[in-house]
Amino acid sequence: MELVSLFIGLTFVNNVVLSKFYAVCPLLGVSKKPKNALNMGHAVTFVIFVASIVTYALYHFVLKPLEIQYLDLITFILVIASLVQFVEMFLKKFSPDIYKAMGVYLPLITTNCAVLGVALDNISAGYSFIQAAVAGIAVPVGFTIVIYIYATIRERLEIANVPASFKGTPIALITAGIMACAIAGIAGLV
Amino acid sequence: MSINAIVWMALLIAVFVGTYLLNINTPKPEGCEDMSECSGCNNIACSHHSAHHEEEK
Repeated sequence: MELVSLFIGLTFVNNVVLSKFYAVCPLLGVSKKPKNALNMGHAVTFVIFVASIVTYALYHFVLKPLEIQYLDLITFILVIASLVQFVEMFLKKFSPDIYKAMGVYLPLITTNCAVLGVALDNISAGYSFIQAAVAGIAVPVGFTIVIYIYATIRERLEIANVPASFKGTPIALITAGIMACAIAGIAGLV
Repeated sequence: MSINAIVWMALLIAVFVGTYLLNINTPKPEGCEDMSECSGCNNIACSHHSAHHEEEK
């Protein structure tokens, strides 16, 4: 039950994009078409889940015993960058279809701060291994839901009668703000 | 900075360089030779943006 509430909490209430403002760059950049948004969501889900487990293990089984916890940030950055390279190479070799579907979004995940944010939050929140794994799924699921809904809204905004001064980025940011207010309303339910 | 920290950093950098070289030397699957073109956003400073590919053509 505790893990279920953690999952719901991280997916909706403490949504990584709308409450912590991580990953706003891909939210604004890759949300012009719902299909692209969904592809980005899939790629981010895979990388955050693996990065979450790997960084947790490295912190508790390498950095802590060696008493070099102060290197956590630089360690996580290098691990995530290496992980993305490895995943790209693996997909090239063994899953060309998935590689083709993810396309340019795979290398772009290296610059997604939500990946690093989840790795650091898992440590600072004092999660157990299972909790870190659940967080590694819940956070990217929340990201995928938000980026997909946002992309569908933006698609409609393209044909909506928006005042000239609000067209483009201004109305996109206002939309994101209203979505953040709506998500904050779920806090009372959990 | 302890010797452990220096060795750990050297190891991490070696792993990153290794995975980078392995990835860059792995041939892309058929039909995926030029997949760096992206029209996801309007940031023309990004090297993946379609505008850079139009210049090449």
